[in-house]
Amino acid sequence: MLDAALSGLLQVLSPDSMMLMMIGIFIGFIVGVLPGIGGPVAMALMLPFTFGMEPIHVFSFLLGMKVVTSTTGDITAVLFGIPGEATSAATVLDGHPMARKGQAGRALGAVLMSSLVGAVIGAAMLAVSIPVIRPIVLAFGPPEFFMLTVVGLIFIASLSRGQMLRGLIMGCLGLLIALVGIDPQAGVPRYVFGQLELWEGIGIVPVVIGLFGGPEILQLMLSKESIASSTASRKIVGVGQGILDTFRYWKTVAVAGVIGSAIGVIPGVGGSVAQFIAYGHAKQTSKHPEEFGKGSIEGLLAAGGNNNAKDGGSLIPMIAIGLPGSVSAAILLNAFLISGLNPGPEMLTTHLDVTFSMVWITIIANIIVVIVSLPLLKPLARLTFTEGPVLVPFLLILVVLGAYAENNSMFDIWVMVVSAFVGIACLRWNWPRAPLLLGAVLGDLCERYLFLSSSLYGLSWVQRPLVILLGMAAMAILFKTGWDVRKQARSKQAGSLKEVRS
Amino acid sequence: MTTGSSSGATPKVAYGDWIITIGLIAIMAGAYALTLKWPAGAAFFPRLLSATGLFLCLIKLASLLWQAVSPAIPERPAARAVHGNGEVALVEGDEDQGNEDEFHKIFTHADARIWASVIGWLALFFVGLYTVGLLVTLPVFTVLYLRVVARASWLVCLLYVLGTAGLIYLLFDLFLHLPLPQGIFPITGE
Repeated sequence: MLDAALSGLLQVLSPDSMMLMMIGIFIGFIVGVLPGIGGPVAMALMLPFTFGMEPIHVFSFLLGMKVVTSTTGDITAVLFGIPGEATSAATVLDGHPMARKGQAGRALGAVLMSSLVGAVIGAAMLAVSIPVIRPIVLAFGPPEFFMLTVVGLIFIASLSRGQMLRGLIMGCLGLLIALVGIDPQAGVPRYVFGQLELWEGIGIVPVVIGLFGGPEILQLMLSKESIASSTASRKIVGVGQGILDTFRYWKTVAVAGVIGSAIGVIPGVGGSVAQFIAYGHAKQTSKHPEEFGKGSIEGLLAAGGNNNAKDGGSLIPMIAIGLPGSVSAAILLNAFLISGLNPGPEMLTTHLDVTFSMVWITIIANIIVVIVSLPLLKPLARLTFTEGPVLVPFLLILVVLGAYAENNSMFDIWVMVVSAFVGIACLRWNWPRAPLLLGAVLGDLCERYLFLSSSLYGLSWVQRPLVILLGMAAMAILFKTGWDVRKQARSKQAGSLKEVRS
Repeated sequence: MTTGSSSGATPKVAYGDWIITIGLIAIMAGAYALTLKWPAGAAFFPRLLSATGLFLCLIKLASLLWQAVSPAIPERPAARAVHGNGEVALVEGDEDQGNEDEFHKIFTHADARIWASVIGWLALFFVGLYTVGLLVTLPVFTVLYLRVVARASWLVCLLYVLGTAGLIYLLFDLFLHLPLPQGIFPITGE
């Protein structure tokens, strides 16, 4: 096994592999910064160029590109409040408030370093779990997938920030949005109102971009001020502090990384759920949960640590049993087949060096992107001090292209505009946006797995041991959230009364 | 939900909250009604969700009604005493909103003239995008907006347009071969 690991490393470090990796990193860096054109789109477009390449060269190019897009996608999330993809939405929740406080340097340093640590955790999980993962992945059926989405949905309560009722209503609305389109079971068009564009459903990318990016642009246009508050120091400091924060809160990053890679393993559920579970878990275990959503460094580290770890996790079922856990993994699976490799036992015996090369590529590409990004962080952070009106045309183009790029559809731009209106109304009248997004991300998965569970097992699926275990975990999370909210409300009430008396 | 006022004792009604709640009741009820035409399998999940959503919205409506008819909320005087220094006390939920507080303030306090100007600019951009596509809208909107709102020099406008258009061309056309939004009257052609 050690021989294979070493052989994989040496092959990755060969000049050809490194050159292709650098090209992949360059493309991934530019593509990742632009919202909407995430890793999957770039990988799909670059796949034809890999014909005739050696397997390790293919993965150096494609996987190097993929891991970088995940990392750099967080940059726009922090700076402009526009998440690169739906799976990095949690980064906005605390990363952008930090930028608004004038701590963009610290936020970028933290998110980059936590992404690297998360990637290493994901890669390590990939390395150690391949021989044992097969029975674990196969133990998960539709009922367990369904319960995992339920666990993800439970975090609506946690993301509602003390406005539980509004959060639950927004969660229901999000779930309904996810059901727009052709029903996959009966083929019935649902909530399409005669619009052909709605038959395929509402894309999550335009919704995310509109919900978070729209209000940001509008407030820049209204206030005509910079993103960072006018009271914040204009000196760009804190990149080093952000990096150190990753190690100061190493437990938060490590747990988020483990959650990301463990849930990333589950095919089809992956990153969408993992980010919210990692973020919600960090909030529940933090000593300062009240700071989450206001620019909490722990919240940002949890989102960053989880983001890249899930990519490592999603590779595990693909390598072990040929089951892609995400769109990116499905494209990589294509690359496997094009290179003449068959996922499964072969990858653990004959081609173990190729498997290990993927571990190394994930780690090395992330190290390179951190090294390349470090000198760029200060100039990037300086953008948050640029006058708002100067940024507006660029940001408008950014959100339009982000919404358009996935399907090349003008309709998606209108979806983004409507989502922006919803986001603005939410902020204007204090309705939480995160539960709406969580519902929209998980609605489709939730329904699909519930249908499959009842079709395959009737009602007996509820008796499966893993389902019971996940159900208990969901109840425990709900109970803990309720308890925390109650405690917070009581201490707030006591504080107010005390001040009135004094 | 009510908004505390710095001067009066009666809480001010937040109409937005009412509008959102009633709008959501209409959406949930409509969503439920539509499920009645679908086969049981396809209707089950949306029906469950819309019924739950409707129920929650009705609870929200009841709480709004309760707040409107009740003379004072126990915590309200305390909240006012804390923030009662002439500043407008924001809604209670704001205390937990952090960064969103700032957005809330900007959206609340911007006057009608600023709103009208911003909506005008956005309308110009999106109408331009829809009719003549991105390649024409990009330079026209950018130059107009930078000149009028940001009061940027012609040189800055030129560099800005060249930089943005160059980046888009490099990425979309050269690297990825992706199309750009063309508009219904594409001046630049395919």
